[in-house]
Amino acid sequence: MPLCPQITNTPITVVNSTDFIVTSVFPVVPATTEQVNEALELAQDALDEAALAFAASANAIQISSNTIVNASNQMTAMNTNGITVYAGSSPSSGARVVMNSAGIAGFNTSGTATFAIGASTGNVEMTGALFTGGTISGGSLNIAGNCIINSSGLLTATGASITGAINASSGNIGGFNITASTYLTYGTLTLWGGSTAAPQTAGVYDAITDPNRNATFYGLATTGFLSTLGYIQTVGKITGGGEVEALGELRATFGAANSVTSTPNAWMSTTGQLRRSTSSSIRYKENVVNLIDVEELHPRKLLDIPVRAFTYKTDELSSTDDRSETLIPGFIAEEVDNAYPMGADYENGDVESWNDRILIPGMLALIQDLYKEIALLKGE
Amino acid sequence: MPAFDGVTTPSVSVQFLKSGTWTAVTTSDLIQIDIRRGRVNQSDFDSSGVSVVIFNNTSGYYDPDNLNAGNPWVVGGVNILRDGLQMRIIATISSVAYPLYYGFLEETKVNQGVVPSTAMTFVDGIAYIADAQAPALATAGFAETAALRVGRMLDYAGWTGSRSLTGTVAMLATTQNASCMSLIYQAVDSIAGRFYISRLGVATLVPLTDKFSRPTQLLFSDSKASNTVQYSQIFTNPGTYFVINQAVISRGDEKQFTAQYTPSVNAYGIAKNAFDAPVATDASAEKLALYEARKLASPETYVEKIEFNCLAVGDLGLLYPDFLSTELSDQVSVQRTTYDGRSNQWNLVVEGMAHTITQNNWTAAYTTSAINPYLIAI
Repeated sequence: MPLCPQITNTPITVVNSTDFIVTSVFPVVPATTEQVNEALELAQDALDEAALAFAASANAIQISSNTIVNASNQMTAMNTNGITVYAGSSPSSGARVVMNSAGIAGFNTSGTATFAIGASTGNVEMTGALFTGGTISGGSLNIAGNCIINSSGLLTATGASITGAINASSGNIGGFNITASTYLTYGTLTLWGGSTAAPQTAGVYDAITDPNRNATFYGLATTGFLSTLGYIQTVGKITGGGEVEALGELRATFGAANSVTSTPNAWMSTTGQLRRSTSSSIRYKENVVNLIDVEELHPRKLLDIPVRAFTYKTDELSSTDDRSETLIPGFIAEEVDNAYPMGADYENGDVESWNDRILIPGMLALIQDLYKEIALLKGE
Repeated sequence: MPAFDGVTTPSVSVQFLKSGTWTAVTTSDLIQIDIRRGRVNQSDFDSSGVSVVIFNNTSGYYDPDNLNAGNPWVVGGVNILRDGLQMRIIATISSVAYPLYYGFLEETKVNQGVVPSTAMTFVDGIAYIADAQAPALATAGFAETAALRVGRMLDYAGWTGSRSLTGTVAMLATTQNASCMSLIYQAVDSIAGRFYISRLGVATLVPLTDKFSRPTQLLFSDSKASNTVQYSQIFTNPGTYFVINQAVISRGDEKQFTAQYTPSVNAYGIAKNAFDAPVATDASAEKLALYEARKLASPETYVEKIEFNCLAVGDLGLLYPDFLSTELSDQVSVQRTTYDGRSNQWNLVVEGMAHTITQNNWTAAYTTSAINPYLIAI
């Protein structure tokens, strides 16, 4: 026994009293056979009611192999806030189609809207292409404001580039310029007229129907030709900063009412260039002197020009000309050049022809001189 | 340890079980011995007793890698300083040996510096048992007393040491499939008892009633009266923070009993504690609930910790035998005359104890709880 005083611990028995609140939680004990049978009867009743409900629901919406159907396999209406068809993990992100009272909208896998059809406005918005094997009908078609086709068929295109053909069975294409300077290096404009399926002589005439408007053709920068196998016939003018070339003839088929007696005022080069000749009015001239006072232009030199007769080579004169292959009088331009250079015309550095508007004044001066001398000899 | 001559003060010996024989470590190699057993608070389960011994390793004998033939801890070419090595610490006074601790080597840290030392950590049987698992049963079985259940757990754990198991409360059958310690703790809760490894190395299960038969081992006092022990420090605690007035007893997964002691709830509010006590009957569960709701419902001042110089225990009487034989759950008393002249005495239960022993010093600290008188008959 230890040496220190021993402490006695006197027991106090704890019993349940008003000082205590005792509660307990008991688990569900196994059911008796009677309870089980009663539960089975209740379950059978529930099954019977479920069977009745199932039969009553024959015409209601049912789920059949992942499809919601009714008795006729068609749903006629759904009263819902909206339907989202999706295959991803969330009905609010990723690729999906949403249909609700606002309309129908589609979204791609990034959740970006791809199309929308507004229920109240009927507006259709889409980011992809529109393909149709039928007809697109509507008030107008507007492509970014640059191409508009209205309900009357009027096409308004700004900056349009057409790679295919524009065919019109009837009607007009007008009100704009056709140009190749900006959009294409070259192209072909073919105008079809008349009732036959071939370019017609009257094609241009038929295409440009308003005689009060100018029809201007801009050729390409390198060639610059407006070519036609037929006639270019116009009531108005044919104007251009370049040249008008005809492999055939240029005709002005005036009637008698349009004939004049004025001096011809045109000049044509051997290459067919038709130019306006200079005018004779004093309004256009200065440094006026008498020809015989200018030594290098003295007309007596004209007397050295041989007067010849010759025939034109067959490839230089039309065979239909009356003087074809017939001796005709004339000068040789080189001989004119030798005697009186001012009277010779050059082309590309070579003597080409002689100029009657140069020779005739000299000849008149010689005639005047002869006339004075004859009058002196006659004592007049 | 020169201060410990075994006559005026106990001698202390650390012994390893070498080839079936307890063999003492050279005393001069002992730098420090720490022993910690029991628990801090009575609401806890007892944890494994731990001892840390630091050796002077100048000899190299305490290096488990030292296989030299001259090493006393090499047997048959094998160093026995391996995990699981059994050790004990014995204090001897007047030629009577008092074991203080039995344990198993858990960890060794060798300091290979110029002042070489080795720290060995030992744990007692609770850690040994805690490694074991009670196998699952196909159907619940072993409706048995708490003592039998703890005994089966010790068997599962391969516990070959001594055992002292008392606990007659019948428990529910179990399917086990849990750690042996968790099933032992269920038994402890079922009997409102305690399980610990004694200073003698005995696996001990004591029932609720054990507290009424424990001796009072020591009287700590500042009076210097004969047969008292002087303390160096005491820390008192009014116990308010340890009030428990609502206890929930769970009988396995099936039933739950809750008892609430109303006077305490009115004074301190609800302070709840839950117990996993698969006792066999509802009556036992209800009684346990009443007991646990009442036991700590009224706060009692107690001495949280008593620190004292063990080399002075014999100054006022031949008290070394009483000191060295003090066991967990034994009683002690503490007297204190306050500065203002009031005399206090607290009668306490030893919940835990810690020793720190060096070549020239030995201090101990007891953690305690107030003796409580409550009892139920289960």
